[in-house]
Amino acid sequence: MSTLQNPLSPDDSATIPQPAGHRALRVAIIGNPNTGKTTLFNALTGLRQRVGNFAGVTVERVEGGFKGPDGRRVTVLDLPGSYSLSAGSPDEQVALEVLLGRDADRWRPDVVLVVVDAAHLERNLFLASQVIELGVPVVIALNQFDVAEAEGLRIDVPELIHEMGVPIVPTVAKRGEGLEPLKKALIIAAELPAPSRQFAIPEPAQGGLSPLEACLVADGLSATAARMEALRLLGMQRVGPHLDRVPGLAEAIQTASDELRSVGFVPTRLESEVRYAWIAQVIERTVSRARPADSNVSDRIDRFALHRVWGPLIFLVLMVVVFQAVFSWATPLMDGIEAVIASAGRAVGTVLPEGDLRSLIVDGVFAGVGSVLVFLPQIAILFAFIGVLEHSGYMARAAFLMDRIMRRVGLHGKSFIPMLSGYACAVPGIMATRTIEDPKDRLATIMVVPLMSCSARLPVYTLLIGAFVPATSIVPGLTLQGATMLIMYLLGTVVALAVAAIFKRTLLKGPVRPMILELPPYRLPSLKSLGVSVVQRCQLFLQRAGTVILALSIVLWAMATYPKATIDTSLPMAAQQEQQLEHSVLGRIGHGIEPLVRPLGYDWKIGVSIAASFAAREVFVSTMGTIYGVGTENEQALTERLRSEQNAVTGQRAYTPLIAIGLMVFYVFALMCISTIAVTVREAGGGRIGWQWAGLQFAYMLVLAWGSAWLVYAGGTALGFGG
Amino acid sequence: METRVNAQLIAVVVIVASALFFVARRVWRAITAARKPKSGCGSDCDCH
Repeated sequence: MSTLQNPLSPDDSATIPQPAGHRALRVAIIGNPNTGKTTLFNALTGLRQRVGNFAGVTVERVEGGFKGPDGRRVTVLDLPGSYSLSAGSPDEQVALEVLLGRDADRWRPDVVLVVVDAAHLERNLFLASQVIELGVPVVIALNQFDVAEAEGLRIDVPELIHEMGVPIVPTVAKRGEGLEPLKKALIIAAELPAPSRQFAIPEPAQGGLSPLEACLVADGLSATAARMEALRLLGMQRVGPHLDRVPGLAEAIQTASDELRSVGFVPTRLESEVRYAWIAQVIERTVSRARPADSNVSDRIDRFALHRVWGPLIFLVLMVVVFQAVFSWATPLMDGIEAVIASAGRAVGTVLPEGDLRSLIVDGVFAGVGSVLVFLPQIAILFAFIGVLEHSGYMARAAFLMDRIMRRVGLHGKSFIPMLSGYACAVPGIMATRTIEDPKDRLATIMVVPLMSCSARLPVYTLLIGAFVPATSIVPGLTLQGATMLIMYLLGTVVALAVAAIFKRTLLKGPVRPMILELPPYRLPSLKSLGVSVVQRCQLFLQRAGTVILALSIVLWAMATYPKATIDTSLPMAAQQEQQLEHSVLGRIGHGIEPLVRPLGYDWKIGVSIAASFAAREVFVSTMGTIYGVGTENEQALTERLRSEQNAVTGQRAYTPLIAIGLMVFYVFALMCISTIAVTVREAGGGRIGWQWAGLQFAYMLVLAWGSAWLVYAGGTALGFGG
Repeated sequence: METRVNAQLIAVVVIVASALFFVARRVWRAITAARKPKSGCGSDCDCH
């Protein structure tokens, strides 16, 4: 830690300027992907943005704040990770627009905080050198300084400050080290003159660039920013839409390119050549290696994790462990929650007088929401495992292993991260496609992300597997239940790849681009950030159960209770309940849609539960809870009710293992989420085009779901598995 | 007895109407979120 408090950064003796006014200081954080930007953002602001040990976790701007050492409010904006300001993908475009003050909100930063990975200075300084030329005060956080030291790197920070011309503060964001000097540096930097380019362009090339720079200055850029922008534009394959409007720009770029070629330079390579040449000199003067670079732990692990044979095998074993644990470890906790909810329901039932209000609370709220809440332990276990894989750096290896398959189906390797996010929820998954540069690759990924089994499907799978799949051991440590769950998740993934291949060969035909993937070093996951991500997931689940699921359970209870039927009291209680359900709005709707689900082997109760779950998938479970909770006196668990339920028409078991599998397959493929449809509309371009893509997505997934469930039921019955 | 039944009925109507209003509002907000521009989230999906 001693290194972090040395001279390099504003120390305690540094004078902090008094605030000029009451306006908050605006700081934008930018850096290469996976340098710990979001960890630093969280440490500075006390917020809990999602972090992960792989590139592309942040895809949009996120705002937070803290009180500076001078008492001034500091607003911090976390921008998506970017290797340069070339703005090839939508998320990089977001970063550039903000830094140039061109974004929709005109949020121009007073200081830019560039987060640099101290262990990979050479690559990280490229972006830093671009940002320094934007004409805005800059502070560099030399993050993961401990990792650099552990790797034997010695960074002469005062010399680096001299070379870069901006304040530099070493930090270890995950442990909160270096934060106070960093805060001071941000306040001080705001009062310093804006930095400028620290290297010179070769004279003949500068002659060719000057007219282009003049054109950009005429458009309103500062002279410093125009110098950076001119180099950047020459290096890009196409000019951004915001610059199409600049009169004469295209001609100026063309003229500069011709001029550069005539003096022996390649215009598209000029920026990278001159910047990297300067960076190499800076590194030579400021970084030394205490011991020669040797094969580190990450490399040794990767010999197995990325091996052609061992790699996929390790991946498969990890997945088996995850899904088996979801079943084995969660059961005692689920039983506990179930008992608590049942006794709470009983207690409320005894307090309230007989009547509709009691039925609403006990059969609607407790039976409906309670049947979903019991799955909280499984959500926690699943996301704890995903968190460990993400934070340890293994997910980037999984992306590497998947790249070969991705390329074969025609998708870009970057599509893996959005698809992975889809396991949690399709909405952030679809938003994560912003890291993909090619619009066709991006759209193909958007179209298949909802096929990845999200956490809302987990209660449906668990309910049906728990009720109909025996816990028979297949191999030591793996039961049939765990294997079935794994198969459901794999089914969604495999079909997503197949559908993507179809899109990429038809509507979204285009070339396959290679992926450059950075493999982060393996790290021991921090218990704190792991805990935060699991708690956040659980909070979201509880929030959903307490809002959407609660409201829908109440509405469904009303639909199952009204209008009241004239009950024949001579009938047994179960028949009376059936009579009321048949007469209710829910019963009538259920019978109305029964012909649509009959070929799948479902009765009207399953049909109506599926229809209700188009609002949110978990509602299938709560509707089942409400339907089977309506008027019931006994506290039988939902799984037992499903096992013993009989079809009123045929007199046979309403649920067989075959029907349960067909139902799970239906849920793997069906798009039952209004939020996903809304985000697809927006991310696919909005307006009519967006709605068309969202409509196509909904339709193909519904056809796939119905067709597959029918195949399972009809095929299984024909093969004699119907009973 | 009849007063108690009426009070229960009123409570049920209020609770069910509130739930219906909540669900309708969620659907409406999801649809309007689809119209918003891409920068920023703008979604109220509770998922991220």
